[in-house]
Amino acid sequence: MNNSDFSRQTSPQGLRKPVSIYQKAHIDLPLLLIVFVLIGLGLIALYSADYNGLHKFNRQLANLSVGVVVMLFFSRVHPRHFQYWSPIVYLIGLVMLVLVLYTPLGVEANKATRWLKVPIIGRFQPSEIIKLSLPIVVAGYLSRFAVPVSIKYVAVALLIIVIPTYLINRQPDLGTSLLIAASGLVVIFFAGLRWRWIFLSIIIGIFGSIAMWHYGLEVYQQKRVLAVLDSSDTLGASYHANQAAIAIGSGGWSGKGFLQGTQSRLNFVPENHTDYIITVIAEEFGFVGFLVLLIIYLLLIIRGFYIATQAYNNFQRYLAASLTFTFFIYVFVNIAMVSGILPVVGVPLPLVSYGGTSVVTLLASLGVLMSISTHRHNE
Amino acid sequence: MNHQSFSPSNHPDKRSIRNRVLLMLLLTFILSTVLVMRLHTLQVKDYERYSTRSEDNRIHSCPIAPTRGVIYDVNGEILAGNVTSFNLVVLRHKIRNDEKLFEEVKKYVDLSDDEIAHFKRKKDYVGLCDFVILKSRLSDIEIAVLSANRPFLKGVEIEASLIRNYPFNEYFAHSVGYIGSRNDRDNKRIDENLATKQYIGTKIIGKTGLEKEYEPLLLGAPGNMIAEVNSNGRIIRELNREHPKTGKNLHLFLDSKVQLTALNELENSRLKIEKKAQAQERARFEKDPSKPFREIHVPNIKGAIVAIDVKTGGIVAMISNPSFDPNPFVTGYGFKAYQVLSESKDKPFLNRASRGTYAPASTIKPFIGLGAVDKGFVSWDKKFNSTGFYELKNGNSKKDWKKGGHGLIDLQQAITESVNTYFYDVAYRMKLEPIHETLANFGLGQVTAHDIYADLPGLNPSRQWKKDNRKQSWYPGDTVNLGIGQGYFLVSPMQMAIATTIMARKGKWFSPRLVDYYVEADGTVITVSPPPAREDYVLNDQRNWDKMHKAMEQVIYNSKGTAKIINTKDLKYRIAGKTGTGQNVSLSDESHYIDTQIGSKTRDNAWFVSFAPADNPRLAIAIILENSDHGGSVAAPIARKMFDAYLLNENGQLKDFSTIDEVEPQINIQMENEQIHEGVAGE
Repeated sequence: MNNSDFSRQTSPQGLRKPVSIYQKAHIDLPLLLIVFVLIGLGLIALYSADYNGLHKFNRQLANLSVGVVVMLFFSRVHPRHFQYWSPIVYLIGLVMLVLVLYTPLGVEANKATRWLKVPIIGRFQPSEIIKLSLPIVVAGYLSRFAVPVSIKYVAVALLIIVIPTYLINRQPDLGTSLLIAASGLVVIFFAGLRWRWIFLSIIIGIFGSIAMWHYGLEVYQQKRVLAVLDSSDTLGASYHANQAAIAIGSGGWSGKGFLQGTQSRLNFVPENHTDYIITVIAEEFGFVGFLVLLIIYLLLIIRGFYIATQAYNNFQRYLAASLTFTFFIYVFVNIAMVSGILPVVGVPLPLVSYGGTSVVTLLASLGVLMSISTHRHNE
Repeated sequence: MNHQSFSPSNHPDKRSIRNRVLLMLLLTFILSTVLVMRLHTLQVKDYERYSTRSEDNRIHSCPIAPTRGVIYDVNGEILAGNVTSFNLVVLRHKIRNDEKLFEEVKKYVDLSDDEIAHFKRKKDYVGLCDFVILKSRLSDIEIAVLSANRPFLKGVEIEASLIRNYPFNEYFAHSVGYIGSRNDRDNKRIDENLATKQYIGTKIIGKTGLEKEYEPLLLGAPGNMIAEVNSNGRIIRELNREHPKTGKNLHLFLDSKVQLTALNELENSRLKIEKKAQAQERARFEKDPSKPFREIHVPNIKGAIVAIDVKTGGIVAMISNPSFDPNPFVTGYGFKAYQVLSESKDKPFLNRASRGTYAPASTIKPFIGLGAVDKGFVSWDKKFNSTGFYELKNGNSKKDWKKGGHGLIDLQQAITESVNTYFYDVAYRMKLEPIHETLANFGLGQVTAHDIYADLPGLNPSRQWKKDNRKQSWYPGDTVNLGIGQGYFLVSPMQMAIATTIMARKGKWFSPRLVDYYVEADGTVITVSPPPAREDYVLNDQRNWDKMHKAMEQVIYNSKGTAKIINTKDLKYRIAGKTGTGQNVSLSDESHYIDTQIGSKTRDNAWFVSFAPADNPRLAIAIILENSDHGGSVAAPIARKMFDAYLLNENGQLKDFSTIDEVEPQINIQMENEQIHEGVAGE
């Protein structure tokens, strides 16, 4: 394989479209620029959140450096290699999830067993491996069949999704398991699930929601759902939710200014360097700052979807679209949760929140996206 | 290769994926719109509300307790001041486990059960701005030990604060009083007086004495510090500070020199009594060695002394013995120590000067005598035959204290020699109402002092009083008893001092008070000058005052005078006075230490009221000593020393008071000095 790759590089390319220098370097320039702007915004917010000491700020610089290297490395790897290796990685991930749950290798922290302690390598979350490999496996599997995909193959794909989702939910880590499930389901959607199934699931979803509303939710939960777009009902909410709402709300149109966010600087908002970092941006740069951030995210989404439509084959299309939309789900769930629309599940704001694992995983997935973008002529 | 080898541009699946991507992009925009709406609601629509709540979060207003006004005596000595105390304080939000903290702290400094109990009680009442004091008044060594080991002590700090200090300890406890931590009752009263604002930041309040009477003046006004705090309530920085207003400094008539002289004499008397009792015991032992020799210890003389400046009406001395140290009240009395004092038979917390009520005994004679002679019931020259017995109408008879009586005597001699039978007769002739009226004119039976804490009115009995309280009608025998100051009479030493002052002032009323003046923050001196407590007592014949003064002088100077024990040879002035010996009812049920040693006579209370100089009175003194020898022998010498201390200058000559009165009040306080210096600099 290496040999054939090598031979392609030296083969004449006269019949093909002219290839840009970035494409040769396997860099998707618009995506890279958007990523750097996001990272920059994240660092500004983190600088403010971590002003006393900048310990986390410095560590995030290291995390980002590793992440960017991983991204650039992944961008050079041909998508077919991801397709080839992903089932093995996925299976290793499953084994690790089982080890975490059912053997003493799992490390318990904050009433959840999410970490696997491996000698020499150290601690890490196997769910991150699944997070990366699952959409690739599902895309790889479904891309083998003609569009629209028959329901029995969809059933197999669902099984691939459900197993890790169940295991991760057992840890328990509801947020991650739902996001992983979503990333797989998005692939099924893009892989051409028949519209009738889509409508059927939507209808089931609507009736399920109505049933859930009447029989599953307590009155206070109903109230909370109804109060989503009305901030006046924050009194009954938790301290964290309240302080986050105060931080965001007090930012106003243009914010209190860089390093002037009192809610964040005086530690009123907990976890404001990780999951709640949007509060720092909203407080210090206001509604305008939030809009700028959201627009940059949307640019990334648009670029991702564009890459999906331009991809070389179905596998790459499914994967690119799935990675892109999953990325947006992260953004939406995080902001919705911090601003009080969704219940609190631990989801970081992509590339902005502090955290080594999430930064490296997300940049790796963007690396895959870049690889799809720069290998669209199948070089 | 399989289908992957199709050219990407014309692949049939490409359109399908494009549609679905567009659908998802639409979903992305819809969801983004939801976020924008939500953030718009929070940041734009409800901005005002969240902005306010954000400010409420971070801004805390921390009250600063004002410095309490200082109380000075007439010489500028501090009776109640403020000193810096180094305290071990606990940052409450940093401590999770109290018991562990105590254990840690105990490694370095002692921590008593009382201190721990105080801490536990106080810690729940502490606001965001405050520390909780774990141990106050740290010694230098303790500070050094704690500072050196600070890295090992998490959550505790050493803080300096001003605390109330009474430099004279127990000597002025009953007049100055003390402060203490506010309790629920105090807080309720503060709320009722709408003074809650004044007390923000202050944890203490005047509990007794002047500290309570002048609480609003001494308190000052709290300042305020606006600070930014973090979510833990820790102060990050100060934004604004409004300084507290220091309380007003009180300047008293109390003269520590005179008061200490009296206390010193009391101690000398105690030693004398002790020596005498020991000598008696030795003599007994030599005579009868069968019983073992006992060490005799006389703990203290119980009693009260009040001295009033006749000219100003200011209280120069106010002693209640035994007393107590008010300093521990400032930081909290230990439970045990407090129990010992409160359950002591000597009742050190009882202010005998204003709340101790006694039968006035023979000291009432000059007052009743004056009323009797002015109302014409007796006359100065009419002789009375004292036989040693006084026969009552019902056949009973009352004995005089002197066997065989005093012979033929007039009113002056009856005063000088304190002839009981004479005054039985006077009372019998006068009847109740004129006696009651006369004594009311001297302020007996009512509270006349201006600023004495919780003083009692005593009892100037009347028919109505007996009917209401004893459900009995008044008998002539009751009246006869009044003649020698026994029966239903109850007076406090304060009242006797005031009555004696009125006697010395020839009926001109005034307002007895402790505080002369106080100083405003701008240096303005405000004199406390309440109106006289009563209308003046005007006699039908004003010359009777002088005559009674002469009679009282004879008590000391006549060879038969009951107070002739005072050494008058080297006196630079003349004293007028009256002794009295009252039965001590309160002690009848107690076995007492001196009882067996000195004889039953000591179960009586010894009175001595006096004023001097007799021709131009300046100081009036009332002394009562419980279970003591005859009033003339112990009390009178104490009075003499007090007169010396007040009336004589450094050279032992009589002070010229006429000039002193015109001198501006001497102020030697730091704070006020600044203003004085300014004035000097201007000149």
